Amino acid sequence: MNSNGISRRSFVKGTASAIAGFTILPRFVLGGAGFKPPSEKLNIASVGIGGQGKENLKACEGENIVALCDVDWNYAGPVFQSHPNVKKYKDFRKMLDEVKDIDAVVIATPDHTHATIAMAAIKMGKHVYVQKPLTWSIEEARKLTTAAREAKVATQMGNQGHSSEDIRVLCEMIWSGAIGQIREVYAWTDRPFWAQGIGRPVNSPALPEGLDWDNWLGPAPVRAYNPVYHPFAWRGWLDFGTGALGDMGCHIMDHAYWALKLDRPTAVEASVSSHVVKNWEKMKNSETYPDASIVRYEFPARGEMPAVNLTWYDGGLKPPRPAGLEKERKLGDGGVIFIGDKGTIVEGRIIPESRMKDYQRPAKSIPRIAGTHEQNWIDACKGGPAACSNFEYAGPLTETVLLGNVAIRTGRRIEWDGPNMKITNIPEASELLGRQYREGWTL
Amino acid sequence: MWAQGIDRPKDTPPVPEGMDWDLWLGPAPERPYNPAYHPFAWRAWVDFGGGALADMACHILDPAFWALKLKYPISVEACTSTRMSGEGWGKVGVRETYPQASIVRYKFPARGNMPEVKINWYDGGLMPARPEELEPGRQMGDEDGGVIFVGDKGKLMCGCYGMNPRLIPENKMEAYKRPAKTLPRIKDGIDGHEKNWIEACKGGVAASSNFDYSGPFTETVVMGNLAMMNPYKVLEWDGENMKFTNDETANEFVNPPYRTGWTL
Repeated sequence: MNSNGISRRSFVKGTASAIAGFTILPRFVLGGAGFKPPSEKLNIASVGIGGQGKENLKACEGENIVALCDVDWNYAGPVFQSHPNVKKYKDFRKMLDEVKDIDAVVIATPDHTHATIAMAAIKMGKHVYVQKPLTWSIEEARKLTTAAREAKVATQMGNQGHSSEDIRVLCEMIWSGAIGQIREVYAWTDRPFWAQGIGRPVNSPALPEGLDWDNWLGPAPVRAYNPVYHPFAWRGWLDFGTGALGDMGCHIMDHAYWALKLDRPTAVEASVSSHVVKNWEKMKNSETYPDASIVRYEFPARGEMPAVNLTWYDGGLKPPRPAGLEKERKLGDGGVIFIGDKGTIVEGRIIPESRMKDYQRPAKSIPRIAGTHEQNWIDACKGGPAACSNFEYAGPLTETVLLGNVAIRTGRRIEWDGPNMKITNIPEASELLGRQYREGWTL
Repeated sequence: MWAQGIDRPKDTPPVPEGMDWDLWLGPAPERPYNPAYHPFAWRAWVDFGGGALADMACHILDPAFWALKLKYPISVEACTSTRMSGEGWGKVGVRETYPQASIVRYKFPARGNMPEVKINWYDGGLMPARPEELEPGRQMGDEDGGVIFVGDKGKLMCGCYGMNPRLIPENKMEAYKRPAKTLPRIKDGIDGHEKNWIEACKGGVAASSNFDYSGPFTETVVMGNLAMMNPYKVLEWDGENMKFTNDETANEFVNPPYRTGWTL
């Protein structure tokens, strides 16, 4: 980060915010459509409000909430009730078409519909806040990032930890050499909390009243409604979610991604738990992500930082306990371990704890975020500096996380040409980078 | 190759004719007959089998145990895959069956001129990191599993049953001259294992995997299962006294009680 709160990545890549970095002009001064001065309220629309979107919306209540959209009016009921005078929609396309004064859109739908909704908003010049992971596929992340850059809209991915004090302290520790050069990183989550490694249900219960299943499916292939998908466990299904890795990787790997200034990995390999359906027969699962997985990423050297391997564990698996961790100290439900040539950081703290206690934290060099992650984005919408997890950062992070799912699905080592978005050693795996949308849907 | 991470069946089909279910149970706690246990998939069930680890590690870790002159480990730690039921936060099969997949991490003390060593075991589809010395496309181990030895001067890989030990990469193996044969060979090799024992029964030399070797080896292997029952904790093992020194809960599994009428 430089002193204007602009990440290295957005600075290097020459975005509007990077230009602002040289001149330190707020964006509303630079002009361009849609950047309101801080004195005015934004008109915000929210799509997907029954789950995490409800929390995002709360953080935006200081602005004008002008439209609410959810495919499930039962699930969204409490939010509709608390906003009796706000227009309600099931179809975001109709909402964007009818409500002309929307400045910005918050999107917290299941992963498989992030991209289509966000792209429609971006193409209309609206600022977007999109839940993590940014998209369902790598191709969508790349296109969305490019489109947002071209449209010069303010963006933020909903990895709220990126606005935290903790991640800034971690970066400052690592950048000041607290544990020396880092060549090995481990990250893990105890998720999934929903069933994975299962087959498609054979029953087809009646569609609940108030649910627009066709719009829930969005660009994904048609299948019958089932409560195993909506409202919660879509995360485990290949067609809709991105598994434990997609759900938590954008939070947990974020720490490594920023602190180690990672960009594109050069290779990734995975191994996964297998589910035996009957003796001698393993499930050939083309429906859900596995119960547990290990994903190994290789990143090349970056500037003064050496090449680094990042290993991800989920579904109950955890990394090996690093040397120096106190005997009785447990690894948490999710976290990151950085192994440096001069020490080890576990879940944000140098180990052993006695060494952390003696450690003098470096001066704060990264600007702190005042208020919420959503507010950080609202400030950007009003011409402030780019939000901390804007798509120039969050796009490549999401692509990296999702590349792990490509490795999980192929079961083979994947060599990756990140800049050109190409798998160089298994051409047939390229079909997993994106997908053919259902008729009537485009990006 | 059998289901793990599952719950106990609720149905109670009749015991098939010709089968003595009580004797099948032996010292294990009583439960109704079910084809989920017999004849094949008992391996999965904590009361009867030892899971993927006990089934295969006595083959796969054998070359490590012998070549590295191992005996009791000083500690063991495991992490296991979780299987969610899909109903709330419910989990499937906990302590009924072994997990679908696991990693077990053993630590062994220094032996003579050999340093302290760690063994990391992976099962249920999980694999160790691919060594960078391994040529692209080359299989790690073989279709039944394998071992990778990481030395300070190179790496050595073999398959299941210790088959086909080779330095990697292959060009290093090709340049390598094997040492003279010092260990006596077993007639007919892998197919002569039973005859090797028959000869011992008839007063020949002790069989190659006699209990003085395979006892401590088996203890080590199944200890991994105790770690799976008590995951995410480094359990410290006192091999001579056969107990964990830092976890009484784990000790409950070291010598579980027999059903009435059975003793050892």
